[in-house]
Amino acid sequence: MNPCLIKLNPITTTDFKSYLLSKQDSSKWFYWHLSSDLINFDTFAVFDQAHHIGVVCIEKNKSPLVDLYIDPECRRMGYGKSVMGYVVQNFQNVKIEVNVNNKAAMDFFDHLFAERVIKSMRIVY
Amino acid sequence: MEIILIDKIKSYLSTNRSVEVQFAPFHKGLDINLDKDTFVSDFDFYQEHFGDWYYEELTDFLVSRDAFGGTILVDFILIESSLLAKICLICSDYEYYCDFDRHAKGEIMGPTLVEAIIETRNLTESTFDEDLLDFNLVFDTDLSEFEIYYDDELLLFNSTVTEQIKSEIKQVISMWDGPFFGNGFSDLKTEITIERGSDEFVCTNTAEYEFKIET
Repeated sequence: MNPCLIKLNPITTTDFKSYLLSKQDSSKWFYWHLSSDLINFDTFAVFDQAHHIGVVCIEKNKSPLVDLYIDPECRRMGYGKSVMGYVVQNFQNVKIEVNVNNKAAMDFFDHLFAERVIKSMRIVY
Repeated sequence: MEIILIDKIKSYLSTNRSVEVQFAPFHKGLDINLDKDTFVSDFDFYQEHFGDWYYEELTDFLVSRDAFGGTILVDFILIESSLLAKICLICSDYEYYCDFDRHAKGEIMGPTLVEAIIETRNLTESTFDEDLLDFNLVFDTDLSEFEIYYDDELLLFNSTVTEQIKSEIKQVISMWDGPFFGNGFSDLKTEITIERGSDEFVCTNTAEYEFKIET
């Protein structure tokens, strides 16, 4: 497994939601995504070679919101950082929203912010 | 649910004050709507602790039942010393996830309606224009609002024709389900509306579920 070899493959919103639902650990942070039609988002599967390790959705506008889910067993291995690095290189003015109650996400994005992978993030409640 | 929140809710209910909260999830966040006049000095307390409850228990409960709502209303009931949460999910095909197309106004154009319009407006089948037809309807178990316009003019038919048109419309729309798909919810209601000027109906489901609050 090599975070540098990640690929983002387009998937349907239904597949995006099914993947999140199959991963029970974080559904509460994606409740809105599960209940929304996601009509303004492009949805992707994150692959490390043949391994499906997460999903990403990117809003379709000039300042897109980005949301990322990486499988728990693949966290702290650099995948999330690689995905966000890819996203900020390919999309301008990326927006990140992080729920203050989601400690893991707060730590992750704080780290990316400190390393200047992302320029800003918005804390929501 | 935290004991401190349970005790607070019980203290309200035992003094005949209702506790109702509305959750509206958005992207990564959540709007919690509480009546400021009701909760006065406890407003911030409820805001904070209901947020914790939503993230720590309520979403898990809903996701485990494959149940989603754009708006989630929760009303609490005290029965003896037990605290019950009565949840009402509201979801509509107008704004929320569903895998089917919304219903179009053309679907309810039955033969009686078309014939009545042609006769009333001195039209022919070839001059009748479906696009000029507008509805203002509300249906739950019956048509509580019923107005039909053609070329911006309200149509009035005799009672026999009106009842026949209503019957044809009800026969079609009573078969429509709406977008709700959760498991184990009771008392699923569907309201179907169309407003004048709109080409599509809005199907809104409300689904209720009641459960005992545990610490």
